[in-house]
Amino acid sequence: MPSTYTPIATTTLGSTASSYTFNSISGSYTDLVLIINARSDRNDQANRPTDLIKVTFNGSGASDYSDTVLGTNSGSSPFSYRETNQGFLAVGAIPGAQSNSGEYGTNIFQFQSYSNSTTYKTMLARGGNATSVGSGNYYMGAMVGLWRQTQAITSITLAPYVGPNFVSGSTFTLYGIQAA
Amino acid sequence: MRNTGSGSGEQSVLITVNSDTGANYATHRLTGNGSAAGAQSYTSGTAIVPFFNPENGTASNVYGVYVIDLLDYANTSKNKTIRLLGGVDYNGSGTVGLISGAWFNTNAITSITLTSGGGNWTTAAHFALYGIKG
Repeated sequence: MPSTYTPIATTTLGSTASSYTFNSISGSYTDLVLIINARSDRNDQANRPTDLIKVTFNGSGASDYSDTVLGTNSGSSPFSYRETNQGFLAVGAIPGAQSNSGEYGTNIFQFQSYSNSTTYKTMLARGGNATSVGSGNYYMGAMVGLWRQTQAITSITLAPYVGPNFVSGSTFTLYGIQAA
Repeated sequence: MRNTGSGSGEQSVLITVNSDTGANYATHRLTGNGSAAGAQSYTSGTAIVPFFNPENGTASNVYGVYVIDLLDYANTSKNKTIRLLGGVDYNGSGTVGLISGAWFNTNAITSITLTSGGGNWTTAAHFALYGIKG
Protein backbone atom coordinates (compact mmCIF):
# COMPACT_ATOMS: atom_id res chain seq x y z
CA MET A 1 0.00 0.00 0.00
CA PRO A 2 1.53 3.35 -0.98
CA SER A 3 2.17 5.96 1.64
CA THR A 4 -0.30 8.81 1.91
CA TYR A 5 2.46 11.39 2.32
CA THR A 6 5.29 11.31 -0.23
CA PRO A 7 8.43 13.16 0.90
CA ILE A 8 9.43 15.73 -1.71
CA ALA A 9 12.31 17.52 0.01
CA THR A 10 13.66 18.21 3.46
CA THR A 11 16.43 20.30 4.92
CA THR A 12 17.92 21.04 8.31
CA LEU A 13 19.90 24.25 8.34
CA GLY A 14 23.52 23.89 9.34
CA SER A 15 23.90 27.67 9.73
CA THR A 16 21.70 30.75 9.74
CA ALA A 17 19.75 31.49 6.58
CA SER A 18 17.63 34.48 5.65
CA SER A 19 15.23 32.27 3.70
CA TYR A 20 14.65 28.80 2.33
CA THR A 21 12.98 27.91 -0.97
CA PHE A 22 11.44 24.71 -2.24
CA ASN A 23 11.94 24.96 -5.99
CA SER A 24 10.63 23.03 -8.96
CA ILE A 25 7.68 21.52 -7.12
CA SER A 26 6.08 18.85 -9.28
CA GLY A 27 2.45 19.38 -10.23
CA SER A 28 1.74 15.66 -9.99
CA TYR A 29 0.39 15.75 -6.43
CA THR A 30 -3.08 16.81 -5.32
CA ASP A 31 -2.12 18.66 -2.13
CA LEU A 32 1.06 19.71 -0.35
CA VAL A 33 1.90 19.61 3.36
CA LEU A 34 4.85 21.57 4.76
CA ILE A 35 6.14 20.74 8.23
CA ILE A 36 8.31 23.38 9.89
CA ASN A 37 10.25 23.19 13.11
CA ALA A 38 12.18 26.41 13.24
CA ARG A 39 13.55 29.33 15.21
CA SER A 40 14.58 32.82 14.15
CA ASP A 41 17.15 35.27 15.48
CA ARG A 42 14.57 38.01 16.05
CA ASN A 43 15.79 40.28 18.84
CA ASP A 44 14.36 43.67 17.96
CA GLN A 45 12.22 44.45 20.99
CA ALA A 46 12.19 43.51 24.65
CA ASN A 47 9.69 40.80 25.59
CA ARG A 48 9.14 39.76 21.98
CA PRO A 49 10.25 36.11 21.87
CA THR A 50 7.96 35.12 18.96
CA ASP A 51 8.42 35.59 15.25
CA LEU A 52 6.16 34.69 12.32
CA ILE A 53 7.00 33.08 8.98
CA LYS A 54 6.70 34.89 5.65
CA VAL A 55 5.49 32.75 2.76
CA THR A 56 5.66 33.65 -0.92
CA PHE A 57 4.98 31.62 -4.04
CA ASN A 58 6.78 31.35 -7.36
CA GLY A 59 9.22 34.10 -6.40
CA SER A 60 6.47 36.71 -6.38
CA GLY A 61 6.54 39.60 -3.93
CA ALA A 62 3.64 41.44 -5.59
CA SER A 63 0.88 42.68 -3.30
CA ASP A 64 -1.34 39.70 -4.05
CA TYR A 65 -1.33 38.14 -0.58
CA SER A 66 -3.79 38.42 2.30
CA ASP A 67 -4.57 36.43 5.43
CA THR A 68 -6.98 36.07 8.32
CA VAL A 69 -5.61 34.95 11.69
CA LEU A 70 -7.10 33.42 14.82
CA GLY A 71 -4.70 33.32 17.74
CA THR A 72 -4.16 33.32 21.45
CA ASN A 73 -1.30 34.97 23.22
CA SER A 74 0.01 33.72 26.56
CA GLY A 75 -3.33 32.28 27.55
CA SER A 76 -5.21 35.53 27.12
CA SER A 77 -8.52 35.80 25.28
CA PRO A 78 -8.32 34.69 21.65
CA PHE A 79 -8.06 37.39 19.03
CA SER A 80 -8.36 37.75 15.28
CA TYR A 81 -6.83 40.10 12.77
CA ARG A 82 -6.29 40.27 9.04
CA GLU A 83 -3.78 41.62 6.56
CA THR A 84 -4.57 42.69 2.99
CA ASN A 85 -2.65 43.48 -0.18
CA GLN A 86 0.64 42.29 1.23
CA GLY A 87 3.78 41.16 -0.54
CA PHE A 88 3.77 37.90 1.47
CA LEU A 89 1.69 35.83 3.88
CA ALA A 90 2.70 36.13 7.55
CA VAL A 91 1.64 32.91 9.23
CA GLY A 92 2.78 30.39 11.79
CA ALA A 93 4.76 31.09 14.97
CA ILE A 94 8.38 30.38 15.89
CA PRO A 95 10.61 31.39 18.80
CA GLY A 96 13.11 34.20 18.43
CA ALA A 97 16.41 34.96 20.13
CA GLN A 98 14.79 35.83 23.45
CA SER A 99 13.33 32.35 23.83
CA ASN A 100 15.14 29.69 25.80
CA SER A 101 17.95 27.93 24.03
CA GLY A 102 16.74 24.86 22.17
CA GLU A 103 13.15 26.06 21.74
CA TYR A 104 11.82 25.67 18.20
CA GLY A 105 8.25 26.25 16.99
CA THR A 106 6.25 23.60 15.13
CA ASN A 107 4.02 24.61 12.25
CA ILE A 108 1.99 22.76 9.63
CA PHE A 109 1.15 24.53 6.38
CA GLN A 110 -1.28 22.94 3.91
CA PHE A 111 -1.80 23.84 0.28
CA GLN A 112 -4.85 22.23 -1.31
CA SER A 113 -5.18 22.01 -5.09
CA TYR A 114 -1.88 23.86 -5.43
CA SER A 115 -1.29 22.84 -9.02
CA ASN A 116 -4.58 23.84 -10.63
CA SER A 117 -4.62 26.85 -12.92
CA THR A 118 -8.24 27.83 -12.32
CA THR A 119 -8.55 29.09 -8.74
CA TYR A 120 -6.69 31.52 -6.53
CA LYS A 121 -4.52 29.64 -4.06
CA THR A 122 -5.65 29.32 -0.46
CA MET A 123 -3.47 27.83 2.25
CA LEU A 124 -4.11 26.82 5.86
CA ALA A 125 -1.55 27.18 8.62
CA ARG A 126 -1.42 26.23 12.27
CA GLY A 127 1.42 26.51 14.65
CA GLY A 128 2.69 27.66 17.97
CA ASN A 129 5.57 28.91 20.02
CA ALA A 130 5.36 27.61 23.57
CA THR A 131 8.36 29.42 24.98
CA SER A 132 8.26 30.12 28.68
CA VAL A 133 10.08 33.42 28.22
CA GLY A 134 8.60 36.87 27.86
CA SER A 135 5.25 36.88 29.52
CA GLY A 136 2.60 38.06 27.11
CA ASN A 137 4.22 36.80 23.97
CA TYR A 138 4.06 33.08 23.54
CA TYR A 139 1.57 32.34 20.87
CA MET A 140 -0.43 29.76 18.93
CA GLY A 141 -2.81 30.23 16.05
CA ALA A 142 -4.65 29.14 12.95
CA MET A 143 -4.47 31.10 9.75
CA VAL A 144 -5.94 31.10 6.28
CA GLY A 145 -3.97 32.79 3.51
CA LEU A 146 -4.89 33.78 -0.04
CA TRP A 147 -2.61 34.33 -3.03
CA ARG A 148 -4.60 36.05 -5.74
CA GLN A 149 -3.06 34.21 -8.62
CA THR A 150 -4.44 31.25 -10.58
CA GLN A 151 -1.06 29.92 -11.65
CA ALA A 152 0.11 26.62 -10.21
CA ILE A 153 2.44 26.86 -7.24
CA THR A 154 5.88 25.69 -8.34
CA SER A 155 8.01 27.15 -5.56
CA ILE A 156 7.50 28.13 -1.92
CA THR A 157 9.85 30.56 -0.16
CA LEU A 158 9.96 30.86 3.62
CA ALA A 159 11.60 33.64 5.61
CA PRO A 160 11.30 35.00 9.14
CA TYR A 161 8.83 37.86 9.41
CA VAL A 162 11.24 39.89 11.54
CA GLY A 163 14.37 37.70 11.76
CA PRO A 164 16.45 38.45 9.83
CA ASN A 165 17.40 34.78 9.81
CA PHE A 166 16.27 31.27 10.55
CA VAL A 167 18.84 29.72 12.88
CA SER A 168 20.84 26.54 12.55
CA GLY A 169 18.79 23.44 13.30
CA SER A 170 15.62 24.78 11.71
CA THR A 171 13.97 22.02 9.69
CA PHE A 172 11.66 22.30 6.69
CA THR A 173 10.01 19.24 5.11
CA LEU A 174 7.65 19.22 2.13
CA TYR A 175 5.30 16.31 1.40
CA GLY A 176 3.03 15.66 -1.52
CA ILE A 177 -0.27 13.86 -1.22
CA GLN A 178 -1.69 12.26 -4.30
CA ALA A 179 -5.34 11.44 -4.65
CA ALA A 180 -6.37 8.00 -5.82
CA MET B 1 -15.03 24.62 -2.16
CA ARG B 2 -17.55 27.21 -3.39
CA ASN B 3 -21.28 27.08 -3.95
CA THR B 4 -23.65 28.35 -6.63
CA GLY B 5 -25.67 30.52 -4.25
CA SER B 6 -26.07 34.06 -5.56
CA GLY B 7 -25.26 35.83 -2.30
CA SER B 8 -21.96 37.35 -1.24
CA GLY B 9 -21.53 35.58 2.05
CA GLU B 10 -20.65 32.10 3.24
CA GLN B 11 -22.83 29.07 3.52
CA SER B 12 -22.48 26.07 5.75
CA VAL B 13 -21.20 22.71 4.69
CA LEU B 14 -23.41 19.89 5.91
CA ILE B 15 -21.34 16.85 6.83
CA THR B 16 -23.21 13.62 7.41
CA VAL B 17 -21.97 10.06 7.61
CA ASN B 18 -23.49 6.72 6.71
CA SER B 19 -26.53 8.58 5.27
CA ASP B 20 -27.65 9.45 8.80
CA THR B 21 -29.71 12.67 8.69
CA GLY B 22 -31.15 12.25 12.18
CA ALA B 23 -30.47 14.63 15.06
CA ASN B 24 -27.30 12.80 15.98
CA TYR B 25 -24.62 15.44 15.47
CA ALA B 26 -22.99 18.28 17.35
CA THR B 27 -20.66 21.07 16.21
CA HIS B 28 -18.45 23.49 18.11
CA ARG B 29 -16.58 26.27 16.34
CA LEU B 30 -13.82 28.70 17.35
CA THR B 31 -13.53 31.29 14.61
CA GLY B 32 -11.75 34.49 13.72
CA ASN B 33 -13.28 37.00 11.32
CA GLY B 34 -10.31 39.34 11.09
CA SER B 35 -11.46 41.59 13.91
CA ALA B 36 -12.61 39.32 16.71
CA ALA B 37 -12.61 35.72 17.83
CA GLY B 38 -15.94 34.02 18.35
CA ALA B 39 -17.41 30.68 19.31
CA GLN B 40 -20.56 28.84 18.32
CA SER B 41 -22.08 25.52 19.26
CA TYR B 42 -24.86 23.45 17.78
CA THR B 43 -26.24 20.35 19.46
CA SER B 44 -28.74 17.72 18.37
CA GLY B 45 -28.13 18.74 14.79
CA THR B 46 -28.84 16.78 11.62
CA ALA B 47 -25.28 17.36 10.36
CA ILE B 48 -21.91 18.71 11.40
CA VAL B 49 -21.91 22.29 10.18
CA PRO B 50 -18.68 24.13 9.55
CA PHE B 51 -18.91 27.01 7.07
CA PHE B 52 -16.22 28.85 5.02
CA ASN B 53 -18.20 27.93 1.89
CA PRO B 54 -18.24 31.08 -0.29
CA GLU B 55 -21.31 31.91 -2.31
CA ASN B 56 -20.92 32.74 -5.95
CA GLY B 57 -21.36 36.46 -5.37
CA THR B 58 -18.09 36.67 -3.45
CA ALA B 59 -14.78 37.55 -5.10
CA SER B 60 -14.29 35.27 -8.07
CA ASN B 61 -11.73 32.46 -7.99
CA VAL B 62 -11.74 32.34 -4.20
CA TYR B 63 -12.50 28.95 -2.68
CA GLY B 64 -12.83 27.92 0.95
CA VAL B 65 -10.54 25.17 2.17
CA TYR B 66 -10.75 22.54 4.88
CA VAL B 67 -8.64 19.84 6.35
CA ILE B 68 -10.95 17.33 8.01
CA ASP B 69 -9.60 14.56 10.22
CA LEU B 70 -11.72 11.54 11.07
CA LEU B 71 -9.71 9.69 13.65
CA ASP B 72 -10.47 6.10 14.58
CA TYR B 73 -13.28 6.14 11.98
CA ALA B 74 -13.68 2.35 11.86
CA ASN B 75 -13.87 1.76 15.59
CA THR B 76 -17.19 0.24 16.67
CA SER B 77 -16.84 1.05 20.36
CA LYS B 78 -16.83 4.84 20.20
CA ASN B 79 -18.95 7.69 19.01
CA LYS B 80 -17.07 9.48 16.25
CA THR B 81 -15.27 12.80 16.63
CA ILE B 82 -14.24 14.88 13.63
CA ARG B 83 -11.67 17.67 13.71
CA LEU B 84 -11.60 20.46 11.14
CA LEU B 85 -9.33 23.38 10.30
CA GLY B 86 -10.78 25.61 7.64
CA GLY B 87 -11.09 29.08 6.29
CA VAL B 88 -11.55 31.46 3.42
CA ASP B 89 -9.91 34.83 2.80
CA TYR B 90 -11.13 37.42 0.31
CA ASN B 91 -8.45 40.09 0.85
CA GLY B 92 -10.43 42.29 3.17
CA SER B 93 -12.86 39.82 4.68
CA GLY B 94 -13.04 36.14 5.47
CA THR B 95 -12.95 33.69 8.34
CA VAL B 96 -10.67 31.04 9.78
CA GLY B 97 -11.69 28.45 12.33
CA LEU B 98 -11.03 25.37 14.36
CA ILE B 99 -14.04 23.09 14.56
CA SER B 100 -14.92 19.87 16.29
CA GLY B 101 -17.84 17.71 15.34
CA ALA B 102 -19.39 14.63 16.85
CA TRP B 103 -21.57 11.86 15.48
CA PHE B 104 -23.29 10.07 18.31
CA ASN B 105 -23.13 6.59 16.88
CA THR B 106 -20.62 3.77 17.38
CA ASN B 107 -20.96 2.35 13.86
CA ALA B 108 -17.88 2.43 11.70
CA ILE B 109 -17.98 5.27 9.18
CA THR B 110 -18.53 3.79 5.72
CA SER B 111 -19.67 6.85 3.82
CA ILE B 112 -19.24 10.61 4.10
CA THR B 113 -21.58 13.10 2.45
CA LEU B 114 -20.70 16.78 1.98
CA THR B 115 -23.64 18.95 1.01
CA SER B 116 -23.45 22.66 0.28
CA GLY B 117 -25.63 24.84 2.45
CA GLY B 118 -26.46 27.06 -0.51
CA GLY B 119 -27.17 25.80 -3.99
CA ASN B 120 -24.78 23.28 -5.41
CA TRP B 121 -21.02 22.97 -5.44
CA THR B 122 -19.46 24.99 -8.24
CA THR B 123 -17.19 23.69 -10.95
CA ALA B 124 -13.62 23.29 -9.64
CA ALA B 125 -14.81 22.44 -6.12
CA HIS B 126 -12.43 19.68 -5.14
CA PHE B 127 -12.69 16.89 -2.56
CA ALA B 128 -9.99 14.33 -1.76
CA LEU B 129 -10.11 11.50 0.76
CA TYR B 130 -6.94 9.96 2.10
CA GLY B 131 -6.41 7.02 4.43
CA ILE B 132 -3.61 6.81 6.95
CA LYS B 133 -2.67 3.35 8.06
CA GLY B 134 -0.95 2.69 11.34
